[in-house]
Amino acid sequence: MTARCARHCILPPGLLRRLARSADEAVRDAALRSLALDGRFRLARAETAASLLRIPKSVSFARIGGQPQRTIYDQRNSESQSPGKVVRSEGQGPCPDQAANQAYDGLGATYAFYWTVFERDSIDGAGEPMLGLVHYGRRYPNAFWDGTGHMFFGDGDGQILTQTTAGIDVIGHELTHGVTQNEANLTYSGQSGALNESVSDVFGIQVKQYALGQDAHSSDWLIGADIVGPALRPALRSMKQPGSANRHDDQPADMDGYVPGGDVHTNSGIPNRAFYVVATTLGGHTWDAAGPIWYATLRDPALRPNATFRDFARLTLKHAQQAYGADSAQAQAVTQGWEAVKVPL
Amino acid sequence: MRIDVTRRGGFAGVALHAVLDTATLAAAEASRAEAALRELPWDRPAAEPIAPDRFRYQLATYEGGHLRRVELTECEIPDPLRPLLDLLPEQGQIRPASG
Repeated sequence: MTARCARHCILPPGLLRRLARSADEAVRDAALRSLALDGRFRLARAETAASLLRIPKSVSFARIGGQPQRTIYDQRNSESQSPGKVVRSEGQGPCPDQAANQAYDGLGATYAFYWTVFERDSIDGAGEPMLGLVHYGRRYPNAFWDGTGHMFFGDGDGQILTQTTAGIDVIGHELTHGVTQNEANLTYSGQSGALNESVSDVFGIQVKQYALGQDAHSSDWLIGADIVGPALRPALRSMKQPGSANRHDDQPADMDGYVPGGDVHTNSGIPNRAFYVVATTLGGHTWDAAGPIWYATLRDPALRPNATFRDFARLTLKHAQQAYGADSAQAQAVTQGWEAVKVPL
Repeated sequence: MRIDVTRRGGFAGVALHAVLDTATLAAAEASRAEAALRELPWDRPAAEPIAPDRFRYQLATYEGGHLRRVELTECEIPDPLRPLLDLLPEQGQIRPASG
């Protein structure tokens, strides 16, 4: 077992069961704890599903999962929305283009995080191919998920953003927009839009922490630090201290600073900080408990597309209590997180 | 023709603002840009976002003596307007996302 998974993070049950038969006592104990926790999450999911009407998704028997299907295309600075020339396919070694290799690795890191921690098979949970389109546009200072299976990467304008493929949290953020689209489908305006943005930062930072083997206390909780240009250094957003990432950062750190009618990237600071407080109050790896609580909330059919901060907060508490117990440290940490940002439960 | 332009959205979460003037373009580009500007769907309701983190452009002009506004997604920008909007990164001032 690697150091990264030495604690009770959630691994695929088959692997956990094999580890539970290990001769190494520490490995066996960790695996047994993870199996128990995983079982509680499965039970909570089943209870939620049984209590609410949900639209069943089609079941694919064609895939076992655990392996991404990546293809990287070179858009050659055009703004065509159709994939360009293939420069690297799944299983191929590095190509001469660094941006293409960074995109390939970032898509892989995001797949690995979602699969290993949540057993989610790609963006749609059913093995959707991951298509990365690099060198989109001319000095295009942005990266985005287009909602139809493509992630576009601009080369950056050198001022606001540099080469966007270099940000593993950026890739995790954008692909999480695809996950959200497949789950709660949070409407991209108002509080639900700020939640949509926050959920992408919440899982984007975890993809980075997971890839670097960081725990909640060793992470800098900065978004975009690896791709920010000189005009916005040192980072685009701070989940720890919203409003402090750069001199143009207008994110509020709690509801006292909420901006009515504000941009979704502004008010997302509030739920971002709530998550930071939960993760750092609990300590350990963010994906041990805080991440799974947020993920269960995102997947809960009770989370409506027009959800408010309060709707979301109440569901995080419900899932913390279901998975860990009403008076558990996890449920208390969730309460503290929302109290810190003044969202009433 | 002077146009007040604000680009919003994008992963970076900041706005970029400038007042751009078609007079700074070459004559042929300027006349094509001005024709495209006249045909924009001024004063229509704002469009729904096409996807998270995409850019949208808010344009405003006092041409004709009264304020007119329109918001376009980046996919709606007519090609003849691109030379004008390409001036934005150089001339624009960064503003907070909600500023």
